[in-house]
Amino acid sequence: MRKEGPMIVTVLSSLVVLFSNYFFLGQQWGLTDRLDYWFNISYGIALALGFVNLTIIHWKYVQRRREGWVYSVILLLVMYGYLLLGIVEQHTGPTFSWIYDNMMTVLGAAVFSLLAFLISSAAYRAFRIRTKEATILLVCAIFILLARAPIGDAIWSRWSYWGNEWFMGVLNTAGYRGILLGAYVGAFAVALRILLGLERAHLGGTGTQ
Amino acid sequence: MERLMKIDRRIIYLLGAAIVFLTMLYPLGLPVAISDLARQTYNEVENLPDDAVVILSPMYDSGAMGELNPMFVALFRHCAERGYKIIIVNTQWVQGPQIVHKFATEIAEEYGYVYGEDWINLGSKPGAAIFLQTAVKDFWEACIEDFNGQPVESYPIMQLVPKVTAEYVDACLVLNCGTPGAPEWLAYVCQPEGIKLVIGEIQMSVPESMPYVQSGQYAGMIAGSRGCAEYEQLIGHPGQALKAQDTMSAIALMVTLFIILGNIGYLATRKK
Repeated sequence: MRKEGPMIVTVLSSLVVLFSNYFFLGQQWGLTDRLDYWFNISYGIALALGFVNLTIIHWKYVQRRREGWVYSVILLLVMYGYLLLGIVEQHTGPTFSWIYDNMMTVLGAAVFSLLAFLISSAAYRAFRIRTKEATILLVCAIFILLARAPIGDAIWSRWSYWGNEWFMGVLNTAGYRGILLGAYVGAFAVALRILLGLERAHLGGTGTQ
Repeated sequence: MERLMKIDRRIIYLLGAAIVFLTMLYPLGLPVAISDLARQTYNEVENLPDDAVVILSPMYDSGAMGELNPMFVALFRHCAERGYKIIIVNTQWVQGPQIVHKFATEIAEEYGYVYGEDWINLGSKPGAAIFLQTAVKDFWEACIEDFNGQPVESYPIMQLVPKVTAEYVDACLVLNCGTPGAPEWLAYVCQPEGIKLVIGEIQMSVPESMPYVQSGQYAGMIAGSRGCAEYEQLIGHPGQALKAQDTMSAIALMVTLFIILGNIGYLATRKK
């Protein structure tokens, strides 16, 4: 039953979702609303589960003094400290907001900004004209890179037109639509396999039958 | 020649940093041509009815604020100039409404907008698709309280919008940087209810949003920092995005030159 149980739950849940969305009776009985509530409750439980899991894992690291255990202590202190602060002050509290605005926001922006430097270095190292395909990729990359900045137009007045309008609007969109259609057909096939119990990757093991 | 292939990454980082600072201190002032897409997006917002109510949704966090904050400012300013009622709300991206509140307050003061009457910040709501579906049925129940913790139905602007349907909302302007984002607004709100959807997109995700623009599902799109610079010109308020274009030009040129140098080195050593 360790595998059959979750599989039955998956199939039944899928059928309920299908019934609630595609059949008049499902909507009449308010099943979609009920499912929305279930989803919200599950979401909350999943978050709490993650919280507990993180605590157990890092508490073990601290107990066993594993390498880098100090970071686990910091993580636990910050996690529980900020939670308590949020409970006491509410999310609009001055200290709670100050920490969020002046640490989270700034750190997030700083990490993302570093990408500019990493990509500069990575592009220099990765773009080599080793094969015909790599050469095409390189030419396209440089063409779009300069088209998205005004320097392209300064070099050739039609650069941004060909880069932004034609390259992005015709070549890119045609390719991307193909990828999207393929991805959604694939997702539909996987959903159908899960519904029929043929796909079992979410239960562990090899995943297919 | 082999050295050209092995330039120390620290040199690239230092040069990049120097270029960023120098172009900020001494702008080149390169002209930014306005694309058809920017013009189309501008027209979609400009041509809403004079008494329009728009939802401006900053679906992003601090990672994307470099690109999306200028878009928020440009869109909020454009809407305020046209006299639209503006409702700020998002789902899941907790930082979004917090980040934009300062800009919104400043611009609102500039245009004499009164909080709760002409604009409101409802904050970030949990639930993603669930929130959006609930907002369509009952916007007050979906939001409950605003950014300041007051019940939403106590504000005059919210009396205008009991539900997020075409009857009450003229357009949704969604600033997008991931999931949930514009596709969720499209699937759960704008497409079923027939509400116009205009998006602002980070440059990285522009390729994946282009099919939606061409199909007409997105009525318009501000495409990355460059698109925002074009939009700022169209509304007649040059802002941060336009200032950033010189830096982008210089960095793009630097990266291109390094790629060319690396390949010269590669070709020279390969022939040996």
